[in-house]
Amino acid sequence: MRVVALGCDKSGYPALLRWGEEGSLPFDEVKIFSLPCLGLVTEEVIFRILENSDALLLAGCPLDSCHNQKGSQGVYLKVKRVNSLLQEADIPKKVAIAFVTSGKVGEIEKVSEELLGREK
Amino acid sequence: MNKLLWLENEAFSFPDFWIEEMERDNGWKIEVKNWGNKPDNFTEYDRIFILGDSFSFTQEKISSLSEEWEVNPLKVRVFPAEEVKIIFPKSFLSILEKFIIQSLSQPLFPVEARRVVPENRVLVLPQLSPALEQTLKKRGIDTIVPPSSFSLQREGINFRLYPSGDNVGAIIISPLEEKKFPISFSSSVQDTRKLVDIEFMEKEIEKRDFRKETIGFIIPKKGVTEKEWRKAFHLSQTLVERDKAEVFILVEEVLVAGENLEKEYRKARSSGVIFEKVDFSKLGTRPTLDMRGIEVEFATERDKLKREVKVDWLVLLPERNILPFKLAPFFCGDKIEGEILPLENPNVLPFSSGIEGIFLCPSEKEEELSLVIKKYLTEGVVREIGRGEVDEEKCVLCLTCLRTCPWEAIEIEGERKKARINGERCHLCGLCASFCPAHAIEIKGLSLENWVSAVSLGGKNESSSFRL
Repeated sequence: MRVVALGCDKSGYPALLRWGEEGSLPFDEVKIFSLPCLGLVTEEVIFRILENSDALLLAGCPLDSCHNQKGSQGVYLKVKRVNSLLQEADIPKKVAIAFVTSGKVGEIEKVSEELLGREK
Repeated sequence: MNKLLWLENEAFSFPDFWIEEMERDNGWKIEVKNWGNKPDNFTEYDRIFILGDSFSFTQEKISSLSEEWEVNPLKVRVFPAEEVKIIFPKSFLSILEKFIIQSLSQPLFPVEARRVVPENRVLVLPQLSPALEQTLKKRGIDTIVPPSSFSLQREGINFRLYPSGDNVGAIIISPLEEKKFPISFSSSVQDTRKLVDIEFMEKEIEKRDFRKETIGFIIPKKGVTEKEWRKAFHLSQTLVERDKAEVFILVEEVLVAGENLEKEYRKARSSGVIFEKVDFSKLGTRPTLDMRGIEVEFATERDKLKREVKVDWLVLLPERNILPFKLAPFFCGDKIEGEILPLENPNVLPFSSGIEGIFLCPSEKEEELSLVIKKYLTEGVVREIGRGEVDEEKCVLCLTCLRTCPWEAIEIEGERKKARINGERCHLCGLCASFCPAHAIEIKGLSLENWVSAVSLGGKNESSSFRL
């Protein structure tokens, strides 16, 4: 499974990197990118990324303490919408979001299991 | 010929032959310097690349460096060298080359990094405590006593107070706190008079000794200050060492994040104080038959079986909860929603409420808060002016951006009444652009095209990691 991972540079990206460095990635290929805030991610961006990958993993600040107040909330709604559209169209691709603080990889591991369809 | 500057650090440096190879193949002129040997003039370079340790170089840090170097922030890019080296070592050079090509292909919009410094004056709500007043005065920060009736409005990075018209750089909220015990006790347990607080124990320990007695402490997870933890470690250690008492401390979590606090915790443990991690919801108490002590029933995290211990004294530390503060009624026109509560994200500024310029001051933290405020008021923040732009032709004035922006950076102005981004307030979170139904807003350098092209650079079978 080819996965693109996007993390905000406040919380998600450092956590994604630690997850990558710890080495036991459950996917065939992961590309990790950072951006100032997850609030920048639009539905269009998600679909464009999914054209070249099987799944998209987003990692950002916790919902109630986002660095930009509503960045995580905004993208959470979009992820829900995109997933329901993918399901409706019967496209076997997925988008998942992990709310983390930097350095905490547990939530990313949980979400990556979800992407693999092995929900804990 | 493109003139490029690479700033490398001690942890990672370029082998010379890479530079030569890249210069030869692409016609670039590359200068490699380290942080200790930075050039005096950065404006002569077409792009400035920073190598490595990318999570130290957040968007805010890049803005700040651009302001210091007097260059367009769009010219500065961070290549996460260490991460690429660790995660994808084989394709390092090709990723690096593609990264440079991609950076050079991006257009340079006129963007300026500018430092915005707030007024050196604060407003404290609801009331200024003497301790806070003293520490702010010591650091040279003026305070404004709130009049009986007033309203606030944002004015750039400052807040304007009406009707006086004074500007303040920050607002400090000293929230009310509520003390409560983590578990409830029956009246028969309270009748034993062996249920005491830490202050009582502190006084008693000076008057008498607790030879061969058993003393239990219950310390909650939330709202216990560093000072109280220190006191608990010290008292328990004294009881064991001086009086040969048996002391155990029931906790949900031990706080050791403080100066020398871990050392004190270890000292208490090695003196013989027993620390047990328990679930407070399953903790039970009842008086002993002779009413001279309390029986405590608990299950530890290690051993799930319930244990019962008879204690002569049970010392309690209260849980301190910050009561939410409603700031919205003080603001006229500005969108300040919800209640102000402390944030539990270590990546935001300490004491921040999540709203720029509004800080929370928990009790006994006045000194630390005043340091944070002083830094904020003297250094200010760096903002990128001209990065976010609204296309007036596309804007339909639906006000989605105005409602979405968490930083109040959208203004409606001009003859044609169109939305405009105030660069002094914009944090580049991109929420306005991502929610705009007319696609009228662009955050330059962070548009869809930049994203997708960066993502597709890795190719089908080549794993790669980039910083956008």
